[in-house]
Amino acid sequence: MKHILPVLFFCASFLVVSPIYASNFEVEIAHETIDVTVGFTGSTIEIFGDRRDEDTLVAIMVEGPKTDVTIWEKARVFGTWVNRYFVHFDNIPKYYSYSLSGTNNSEKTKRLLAFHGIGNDAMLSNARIEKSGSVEDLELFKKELLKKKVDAGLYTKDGVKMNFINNNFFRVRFDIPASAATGNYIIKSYLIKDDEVIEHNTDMLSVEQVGLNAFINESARKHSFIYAFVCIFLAFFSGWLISVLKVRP
Amino acid sequence: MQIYLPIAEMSVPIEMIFLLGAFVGFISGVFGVGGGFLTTPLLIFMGIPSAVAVGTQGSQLVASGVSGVMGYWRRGHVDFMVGTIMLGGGFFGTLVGVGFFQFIKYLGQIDLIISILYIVLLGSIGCMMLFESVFSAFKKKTMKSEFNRLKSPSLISRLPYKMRFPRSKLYVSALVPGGIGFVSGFLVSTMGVGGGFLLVPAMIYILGMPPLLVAGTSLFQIIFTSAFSTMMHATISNSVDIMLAVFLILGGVIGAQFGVLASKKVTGARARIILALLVLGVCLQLAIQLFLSPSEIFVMVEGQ
Repeated sequence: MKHILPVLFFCASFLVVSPIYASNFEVEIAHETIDVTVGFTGSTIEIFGDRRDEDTLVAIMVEGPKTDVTIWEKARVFGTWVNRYFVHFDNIPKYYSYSLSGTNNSEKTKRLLAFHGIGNDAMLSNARIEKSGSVEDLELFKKELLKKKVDAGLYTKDGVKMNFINNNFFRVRFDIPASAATGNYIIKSYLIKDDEVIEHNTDMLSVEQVGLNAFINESARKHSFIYAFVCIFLAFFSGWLISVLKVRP
Repeated sequence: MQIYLPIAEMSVPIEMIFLLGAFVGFISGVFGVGGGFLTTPLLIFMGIPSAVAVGTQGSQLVASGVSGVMGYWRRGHVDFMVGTIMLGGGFFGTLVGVGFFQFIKYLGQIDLIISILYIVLLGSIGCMMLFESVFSAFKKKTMKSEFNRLKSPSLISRLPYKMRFPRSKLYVSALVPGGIGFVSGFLVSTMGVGGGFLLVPAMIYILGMPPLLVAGTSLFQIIFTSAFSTMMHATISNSVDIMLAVFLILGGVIGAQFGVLASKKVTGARARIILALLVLGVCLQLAIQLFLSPSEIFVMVEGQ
């Protein structure tokens, strides 16, 4: 029921709006925020959309907050395994996923998708890279980065399946694992026809800690001295309590 | 039951954290040690980022330190003067340790250096403890009593800034307790261990303190050094997770009660042999990870 309601609202909005508003492409996100509570175990970003023209390609890309990532290759030094060679990827998304309405695309469309950073390889090839001098096989490091992110559920291996309710209406669900970063997620959607982007939208979704979690996180960052004092006081109090309760052998 | 840690920004099974706290509490109840040497590696093993594990562990050390020192304080077994001088060194050691921690994080070698520090520390302490406990189990006389007859080495007696410590009946350079405190502060802030293993023998053999006052004084010093380390980690690197600390301490309170009850059955040299084997076990586990071929050749580090 929870998932059907947004679909019904979305379809109803088209019934009302479509006669006067003749856009080729509409995309709606079911919820604009994801609340990270104490019991958060992951969530989904649910996107509904409509394309007027069946003979088009729809591409949707979700990018989480960005950070720098270093992939280290271990090597033996004096018998111990140490982080030896590195490739540093500047400013890449902590979460990244995408969905395409069709996979059987022409070379020109593939290049267009890559240009817009759609697809794992395309996203990484746009990143600024630094590496230790002796690294030759950059692709190996890229593969490892993707593998680790996919294993953690933060990237998807071959994108997410786009489900069509009929030839025009579609639905995509991107899974957000519990380990996904908080912050703003950018959702870019493209309508492509004859190897050209004919329409595109950008939406924003925020994944944020709420309630007690938000209070703790904000206190730790904005009032770190008071937060530290509270932690220390709590520890002192617990220690004292243990000494009072202690069972004498 | 999964719980989302607000600072570590990850979901963990809360019963595991609670059980870890209870296990370490049990160990500290049986053997009278802080147990930091077990908590930090086990937290890292559970996937908690090492910065958060080390930062949060400091507050647990405060709790176990306070609970331990109360008993010694009531019996008058704390030399506050030596403790305060050690504390001065401890604060300085903490500052250096926090800086060192940030530096190795920047180098990308944090896992290696923390592992090596653990192996050296646990290996040497474990061997010393095993040797001492086996010795006392057979001889009915501890090495402590043998060694205690020795006075401070001559190099130490020649150091400047000498002070009188009436409670411990010592006339020694303030640099000695200060230096011992420095090492403790460094260990707390880089490894999340109180360093009681190292402090106690150092205070007996190097400083020449009466063994009766050593445990209480070292705990007194560890409380404040750990509190300072918590303060530093919370303000500099935002790596103290109060939610994680609460569940660790809660588990620790309950575990400690069972530990104290169990300590009736395991006492003296036999208990110390078990503890020494436990310490050596953790050391061996870390050494295996460092020297054997890792299952993953590539490691990912975010946000540097």
